[in-house]
Amino acid sequence: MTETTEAAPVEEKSHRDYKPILIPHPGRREPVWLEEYKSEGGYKGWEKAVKEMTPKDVVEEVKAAGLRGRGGAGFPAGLKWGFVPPIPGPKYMVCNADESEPGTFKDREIMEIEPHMLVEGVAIGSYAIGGEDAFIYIRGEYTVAADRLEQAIDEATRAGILGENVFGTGVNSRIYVFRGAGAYICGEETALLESLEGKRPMPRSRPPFPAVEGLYRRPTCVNNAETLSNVPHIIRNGQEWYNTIGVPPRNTGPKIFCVSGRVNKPGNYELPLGSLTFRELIDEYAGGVIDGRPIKGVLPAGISAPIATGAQLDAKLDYDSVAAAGTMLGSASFIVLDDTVPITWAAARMIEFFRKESCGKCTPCREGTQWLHKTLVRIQDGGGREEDLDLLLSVSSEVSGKVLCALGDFATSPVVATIRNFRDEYVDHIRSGKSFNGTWSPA
Amino acid sequence: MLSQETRDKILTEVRKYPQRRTALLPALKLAQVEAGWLPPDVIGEVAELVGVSHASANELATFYSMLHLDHPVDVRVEVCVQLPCALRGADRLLAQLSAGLGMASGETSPDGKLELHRTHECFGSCNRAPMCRLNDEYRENLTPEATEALIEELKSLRGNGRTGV
Repeated sequence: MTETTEAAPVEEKSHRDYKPILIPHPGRREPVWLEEYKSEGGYKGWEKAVKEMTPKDVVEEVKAAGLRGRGGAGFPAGLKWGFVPPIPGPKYMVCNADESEPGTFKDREIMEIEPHMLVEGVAIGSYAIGGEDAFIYIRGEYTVAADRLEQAIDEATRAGILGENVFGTGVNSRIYVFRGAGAYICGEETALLESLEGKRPMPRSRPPFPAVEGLYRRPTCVNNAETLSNVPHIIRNGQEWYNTIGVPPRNTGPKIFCVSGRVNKPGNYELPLGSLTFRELIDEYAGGVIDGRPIKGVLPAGISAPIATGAQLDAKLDYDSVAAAGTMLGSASFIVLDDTVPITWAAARMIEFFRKESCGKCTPCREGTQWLHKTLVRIQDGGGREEDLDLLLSVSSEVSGKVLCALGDFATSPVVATIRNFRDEYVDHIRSGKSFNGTWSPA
Repeated sequence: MLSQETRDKILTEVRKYPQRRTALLPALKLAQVEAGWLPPDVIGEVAELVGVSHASANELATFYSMLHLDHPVDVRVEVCVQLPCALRGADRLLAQLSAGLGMASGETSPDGKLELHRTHECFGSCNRAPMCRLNDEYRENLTPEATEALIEELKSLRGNGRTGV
């Protein structure tokens, strides 16, 4: 294998010429261990950071790279790091690898195949905010990924790359893998911090924000696993190189698009932001819709953002274009529905998730998700009333924006957007009295 | 009472993190590996080892879906029926398992070895859907044929008294 230190710059921004950097070995199931990782330029970014750059230099480089958070919110990572005050005492980098959003399986692939890439990104991020202890919070079900991350940390520590006095520079960098135990709410950053502190994981009221008072009431930065996996590449190759990928300054870099549902080739596809549309991604990469059926809609951010339909599917896949089209890129987990999928059944299935995952702290979410689910099940199973549609919208408006965390907002979007886009189908179903008995399977 | 080995592992976790209470969740999971579930006396013992109140340990034990407050079975089958899996036949998979094993979702087999669960949770296998978990092990791409083979495998586990997966 030839040593690759520089990826070719993207000339015409054609997605077809792009060579993936986060998942550079598509289809592979075995991990890249230390020796192979180093042969591909691994840990050069970390070595450069600790030997040649101050923490502030690293923050500035990542700011200039325009890297935005890949977990869903799209907040600029360098800016977030810059919020951590330069005060003495412990500061913590926490990697959010709780990936639990339905339809999202990108961090799993990074961690299972490229554990060292994430570890390197966490180390650089921790150094950038002046920390010595960092955590990777991984969902409990990802046992294979967690084992591999621990093994990667052991390998790197034995090689003097992590732990005490890394590369003989006097810098300390300890990384802990912390396994969750089954709770979607732990993907919310303040609930995640509560979980790390050994408390029941319920979101905190903000302010104070974690950058000021996070883990153990100390300054803390929480970044998604895919976000941090970009960092080694930025530091190793420089922000100018990174700015050749995607559509700078606001939509820079690669993004892993998870495609699932009614397509022939579901999977992770890493491509430059803004380089293609929903439809192009589905047709050129995901093998098209099964049996060539028309697309009914695409849920763009797992089940947590409004369903995209019609002309929205011609939006370029970047944060701003998808937002301009009226929905959200979020984690870029695309669940594809074809025209055979009953929307009432799909909506009931989605809201069931939020009802069961609501942590129960805020009354509007705890009670609202329950009533939304009951009402949607009633429609799904033939007992709906036409006035239920306005009832659903009314309950949704009492949840969204009236709770401590985003889960409440997420929970209402499958309801509100499906009613907005498919009201006729809802009404037809209610009038027909047809029952799905809670289930539907593709033909 | 937990074995000395598990108690030692828990105390190692307690010393590992910047603050000891962080070890509470890992400690409960270690205790569950030994006991198979979390009966009240085990939760209390873990709380005391970590140095927190019993109430604090109970708050976690009653929250997380991977912590079990009920009696253990050898094999817990969890079928993901969340939308990405459901769009690829998860409801069919659950019905097929249910018919093949003669158990409804939520039921335990008469010999107490097997449990079948329908879960709303997504396990991040949407590209290899539909799927289920057998304890911690992922079984993916469960076509009708693969499901038949899985049913036979699960039946044989019941037959020969093997424990665990």
